[in-house]
Amino acid sequence: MTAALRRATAAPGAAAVLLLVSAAALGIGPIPVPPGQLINALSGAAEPRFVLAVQQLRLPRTVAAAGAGALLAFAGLLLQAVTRNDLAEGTTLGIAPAAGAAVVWSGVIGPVLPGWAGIAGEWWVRYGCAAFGSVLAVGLILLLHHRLSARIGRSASAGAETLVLIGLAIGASAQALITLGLAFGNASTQATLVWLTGSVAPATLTHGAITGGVGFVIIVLSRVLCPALDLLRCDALTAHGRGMLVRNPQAAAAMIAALSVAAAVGAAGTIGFIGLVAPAIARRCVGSTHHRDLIWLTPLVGAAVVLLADLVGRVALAPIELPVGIITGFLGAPVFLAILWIRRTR
Amino acid sequence: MGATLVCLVGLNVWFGVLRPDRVVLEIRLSRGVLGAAIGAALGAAGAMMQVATRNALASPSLTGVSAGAAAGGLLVLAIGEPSIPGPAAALIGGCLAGGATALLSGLGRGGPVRLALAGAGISAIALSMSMALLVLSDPARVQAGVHRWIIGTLSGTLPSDLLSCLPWLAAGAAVSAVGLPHVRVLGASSTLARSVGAPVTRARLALLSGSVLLVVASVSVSGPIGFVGLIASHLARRIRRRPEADPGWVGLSAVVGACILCAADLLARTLLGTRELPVGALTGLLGAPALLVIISRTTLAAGGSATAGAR
Repeated sequence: MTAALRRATAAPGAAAVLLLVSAAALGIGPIPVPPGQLINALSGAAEPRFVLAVQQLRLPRTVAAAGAGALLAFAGLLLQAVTRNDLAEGTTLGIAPAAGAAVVWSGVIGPVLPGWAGIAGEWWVRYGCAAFGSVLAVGLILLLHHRLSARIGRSASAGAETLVLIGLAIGASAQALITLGLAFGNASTQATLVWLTGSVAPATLTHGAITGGVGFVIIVLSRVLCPALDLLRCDALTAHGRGMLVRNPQAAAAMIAALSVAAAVGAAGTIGFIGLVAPAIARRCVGSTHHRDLIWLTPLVGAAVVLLADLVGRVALAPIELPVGIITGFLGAPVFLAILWIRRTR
Repeated sequence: MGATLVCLVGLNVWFGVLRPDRVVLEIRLSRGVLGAAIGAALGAAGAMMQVATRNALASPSLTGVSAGAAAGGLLVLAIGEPSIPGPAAALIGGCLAGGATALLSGLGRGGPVRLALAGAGISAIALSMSMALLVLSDPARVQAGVHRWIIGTLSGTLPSDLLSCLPWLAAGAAVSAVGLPHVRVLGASSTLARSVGAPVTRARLALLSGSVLLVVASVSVSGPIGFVGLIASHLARRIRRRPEADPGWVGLSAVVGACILCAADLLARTLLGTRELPVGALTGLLGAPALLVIISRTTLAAGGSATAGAR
C-alpha cells in the first residue's frame, strides 16, 4: 500500500473500527442485543428490555468512554508537539491527577457552598474543578520547565525526559493531595474511589453528552492548529525561522490540551496512558508525523481503545466489572516502557 | 540528629495521651519505635541504592521496588493463602520490580532520569495490579489491606508488628554489611574501586539486595511510604556538606529517614484531632518539591555520577 493511500484510508478506517466497537459495546452485556435490533433499540422501537439495556445502561457509558478516549488521545498529541517529547501526555505530566485532586477537594470544601459535593456534586462543579486543576498543573509544568531548562541536560532528549520526571513528581504530589482529600472529606468515598481509578460506569447521559460535545468542538476547531503543531515539533529555531512566535501557540496548545484532559476527567476519572497509546498507534498506521494526517486519526483511535478496554473490563470477568482505568494501566504502562526502551539508543 | 530522633519518638509517645494508660503508652511506644525503624530502613536503603547504582535518583519509591513489594504482599492477601508469609511474597514482588527497572534503564548506563522513568512505568503496572486485586477479591478480606498495602500508614500497628518485621530488618542489615565497607570507593568510581582491589560486583549486589530487604521489611508493616529514602539521603548529603559517599553518610541517612517518618507520623496522627491521616500521603506531598530541588541541584546528564555537586 502506498503512503498516500495509507494516509487517505487511515481515518475512515479508524472511524469504521470505532463504529464497530461502539456497536459491540452497545450490544454485548448481560442482556445481549442482536446487531439487527441495535438501531431500533436506540430509537426506542425494539422490545422494552432491549431499549432499557441500550438507552439507559449502555449508551451513557459508551458515549462517555468514546469522548474521554478521543479527548485524552488528542491532548496527548498536542502535548507531545508542544514538549517535542513522545512520552508526554495527560497522566505522565501529572495533569489528570491534578484535575482529580481538584475535584476531590471540591468535595472537602463542599459543605460551605451549595452543590459542591465533589464527585457527587453538580456536573458543572465537577468539570469546572477539573479544568482548574489541569490548567494549574499545565501552567506549573511549563513554568518549571522554562526555569529549569537552562540547568538540565544539554541535549534535547535529556531535557524531554526531565520534563516527564517533573510531571511525574507533580502527579505524585497530586495523588497525595487526593489521598489527603479523601481522608478529610467523608462523603461518598467509595464512589469517588471508583471514579478516581478511571471508570465510565457511573457516567450519566449528561456527562457523556458534555464530554462528547466538548471533544467534538475542540478537535474540529483545532484543525487550524495543524501547521503550528508541525512547526512546534521541530525545534524553536526552525519555528522562528518560519516566522512563528513560539511562545504563544505553545501556551495555547498546552491550555487546549489541559481543557481536553479536564473534560475527559470530568466524565471518566483518571484513565491513564491513552494519550501515549493512541498517538503511537496512529503514527504507526499512517507512517507519518504530519499533524494534518494525525489530527483526525488520533482521537478516533483513542476513542476505540477506551471503548474496547471498557468492553473487556465489563465482559472478561463478568459479573465483576474491572474499571477501565485498570485495563488501560496494564495496557499503557508497557507502551510507556517500550517507548522509553526505543529511546535508549538516542 | 540522634537527639532529635529521641525527642521525636518521645514526643510521639507523649503527644495526645489523655489518659496515661499503660496500654495506650505501650501502643504509642511501639508505634514510635516502629516509625523510627521503618524510616531508618528507608533512609539507609535510599542511600545504598544511590551508591550501588551511582544514580542520584535511585530510591525505594522511584525504582518501583516499594510498589512491586506492595503488589506482591497484596496478592498473597487476596489469594488468602496462609502458608506463604506476606513479606516473602513482597520480597519477590520487590525483586521483580527492581530487576525490571534496572534492565529497562539499561543497567545503570541510561542515566538517573531514565531510571526514574522506568521505575514510574513499573510502579504503574504494579499499582494497576494492586487495584485489580482489590476490585476482584473478597472485600471483607482485603479491606484491611487497602490502607496498609496501597496508601502507606502506621495506624493500627501493634507491638507484634515490630517483632514480625525485625527478622527482615536484621537480614537486610546483615546483607548490606557485606557491601558497606566498600561504599567510599564504589561512590567514587567503579574503575577506582577495581584498581584498589574492592570486590565491586559483590559489594554492589550486597548493597542492592540489602536495600531491597530493608524496603520489603518496611512495606510489609506500613505499606509503601514514598520519597522518605530519596529525601533522607539528599538531606544527609546537605547536612554533611560533603558530596562523596561513605558509610557515615548511609548511617546519617538512616537517622534522617527515621526523623522524617516520626515527624510525619506525629503530624498525621494529630493534625485532624480525632481522625488520622495516612502518613504516606504527607510524605507524598513532599515528593514534587523534593524532586524539583534535586533535579535543579544535581548533575543529571546521562551517564553522570551520583555526586550531587553543592553548586
